[in-house]
Amino acid sequence: MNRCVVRGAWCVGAAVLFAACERSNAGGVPASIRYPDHVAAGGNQPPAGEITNPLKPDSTNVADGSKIFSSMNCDGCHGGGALGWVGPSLVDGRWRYGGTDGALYQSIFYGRPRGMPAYGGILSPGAIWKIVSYIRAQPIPVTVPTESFK
Amino acid sequence: MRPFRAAAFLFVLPLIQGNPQRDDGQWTMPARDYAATRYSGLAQITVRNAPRLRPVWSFSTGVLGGHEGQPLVVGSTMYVVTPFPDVLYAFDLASEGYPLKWKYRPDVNPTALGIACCDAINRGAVYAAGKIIYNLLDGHTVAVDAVSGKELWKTQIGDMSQGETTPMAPFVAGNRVIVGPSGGEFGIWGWVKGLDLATGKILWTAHNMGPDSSMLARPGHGRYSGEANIGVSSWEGDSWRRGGAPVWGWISYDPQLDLIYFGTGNPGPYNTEQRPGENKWTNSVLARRPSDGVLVWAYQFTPHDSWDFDANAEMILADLIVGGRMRKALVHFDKNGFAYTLDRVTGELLVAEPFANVNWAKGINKRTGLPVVDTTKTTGASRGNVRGICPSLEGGKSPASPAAYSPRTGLFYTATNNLCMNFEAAPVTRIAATPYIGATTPYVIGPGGYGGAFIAWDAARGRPVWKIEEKFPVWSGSVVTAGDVVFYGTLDGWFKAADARSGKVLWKFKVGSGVVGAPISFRGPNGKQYIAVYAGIGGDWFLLSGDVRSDDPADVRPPADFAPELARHTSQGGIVWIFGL
Repeated sequence: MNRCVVRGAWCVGAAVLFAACERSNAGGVPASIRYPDHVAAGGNQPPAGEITNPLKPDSTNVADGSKIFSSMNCDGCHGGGALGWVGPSLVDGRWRYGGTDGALYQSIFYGRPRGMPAYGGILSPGAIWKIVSYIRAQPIPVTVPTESFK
Repeated sequence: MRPFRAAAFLFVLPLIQGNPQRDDGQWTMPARDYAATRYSGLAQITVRNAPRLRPVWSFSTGVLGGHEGQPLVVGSTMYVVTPFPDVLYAFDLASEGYPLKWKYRPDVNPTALGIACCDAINRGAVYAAGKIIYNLLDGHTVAVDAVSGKELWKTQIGDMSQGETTPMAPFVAGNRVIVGPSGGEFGIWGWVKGLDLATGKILWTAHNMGPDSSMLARPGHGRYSGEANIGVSSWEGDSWRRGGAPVWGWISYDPQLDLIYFGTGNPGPYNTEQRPGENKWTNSVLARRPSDGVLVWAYQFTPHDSWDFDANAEMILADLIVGGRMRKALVHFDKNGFAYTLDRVTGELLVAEPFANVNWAKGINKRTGLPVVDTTKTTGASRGNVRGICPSLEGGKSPASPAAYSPRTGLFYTATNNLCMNFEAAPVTRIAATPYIGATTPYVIGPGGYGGAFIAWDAARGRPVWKIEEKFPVWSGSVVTAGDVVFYGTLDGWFKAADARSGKVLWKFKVGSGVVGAPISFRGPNGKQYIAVYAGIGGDWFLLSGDVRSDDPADVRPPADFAPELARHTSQGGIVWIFGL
């Protein structure tokens, strides 16, 4: 199963590469690939990267998301207010696995390899979207990116 | 079997009885000896020459997690275990620059990073029968050939799907390897296991609560005075099944009594109202027989714990004159802020006095052994936010910071914290392998305005002898030597030597990152005495002072509100240091 996924990604990546070659390969000059294309070639977003939060980011959804964040023990790893604990901060505007609605949904649903459990089996899509709403509503602390000691 | 035991007697008894023999210069188990004294009989470094100490070697481990625990020195080899991914390094102390003989890189499941409560630490290895034995974070114990570095056996001991991880240092008594899990914040059913030293096979499993058959307890036999099935009846319903009682601290052993001693951790969840009862045997010291795990006696420090006062700190075995009588004693500095001196034959409580600022209890009743609790400090979901509890759940002392005992001075030396907390509990659901906590517990610096102190303690009388105050909580272990010099480190990255009799600081050196490890002393192949220690802030301090982290661009944290200055003095690191004259 894993192998199929890897192969699929490679094929998609190769297709992008070839497409780029076709565009810029006039006169037999080796292809020049812009950095974003280069990155995308090896790291295409999964389809869910394009899905968006169907919920409005209103105070009800955010408050519900905050409750679910606690009741599902998310704060046990990411800390109260999601400021970071044994797991990373979720309120610093920085993301290991992407910060789009879809990427956050994926992280919660499928888990991530360095310790994030997969909640897809025990949370409804609506509950996951409420958590996404809560996380995205949090302000970024003033110490990002510069923490001053005087 | 018999000759081995006799040899163990000769080696250990003189230390216990305060009459150290000539030191062999090695450090082969976490606390140096069975009695867990962390006392080195080496005496080249003295109060007089300690100011001339200098760094002679350092090595980056390449890992940034909290560097708890200590190296081992066996013959002319020093062994170092890193935090996750639990690399084992073997350094050749007989060659210039101490190059590596080998390194062992186990395949550790990174899922463990989300199940370890408090940073991906490791508390070190033990040497026995030609093997270096240690735990991997993901619930495995490995034995590696001490000469070749080849893996000899690997045994799964913990179940990550139930929230168990294994950062503690294994202990070897006879031909048993004793191990236990972390997971007091994950609703585990705590245990210890006895493995066969030769094969790694699990020979017995003893739970810390549940039916007597699971606890390997036989009420009425020997000195075990617990009521029948007290590991069930002191809980409501089946709450014992997820009641915690992890074993992530240190183990000691009296070969004459043939008993191992270890502390158990907190009951889960933190919300007391989900587990009415005394919750035995959480927050307790248990004495078990290493061969078959049978429970011989137990004593609970903090019944029905309201404050996360784990009792995983070391049980130091020393023969002390208490109340005019020589006693086979066991000395323990508990997270709850009291230092206990017990009779290690029977479990009888001899002395219990506070060594830190304490207000959750007015004292310990010597007759009943129970704390006299200030009920205004009792917590629970229906009690709202209970304010101003001292000490905090970091403990009057952290079990991660093992104390030392010098038979020369008769004193115990330990790091302490001076933190208090508010405690707001809430109902919580156990979702396997996710945190099962149910409380918010912000800290403040305690009375006096200092974050912690390094102290000398008279355990026979239950009183402090001297104290070195530090700006931040003190979280390192310690070693005391026959030169009457005691060593410890600070969170802001100083490694210090002090006069063991007066507490005068003799020397200090900035080691590059905060110290949460435990120093050791050994004799090098050149005959000289050295001190080794890890730098590398982490453990709880990875969580509490989040802004000491700089390795992940996607993880930027604010400073700890109770210690906002800490990251001004340290960031994460992982360095092994050796100091000498």
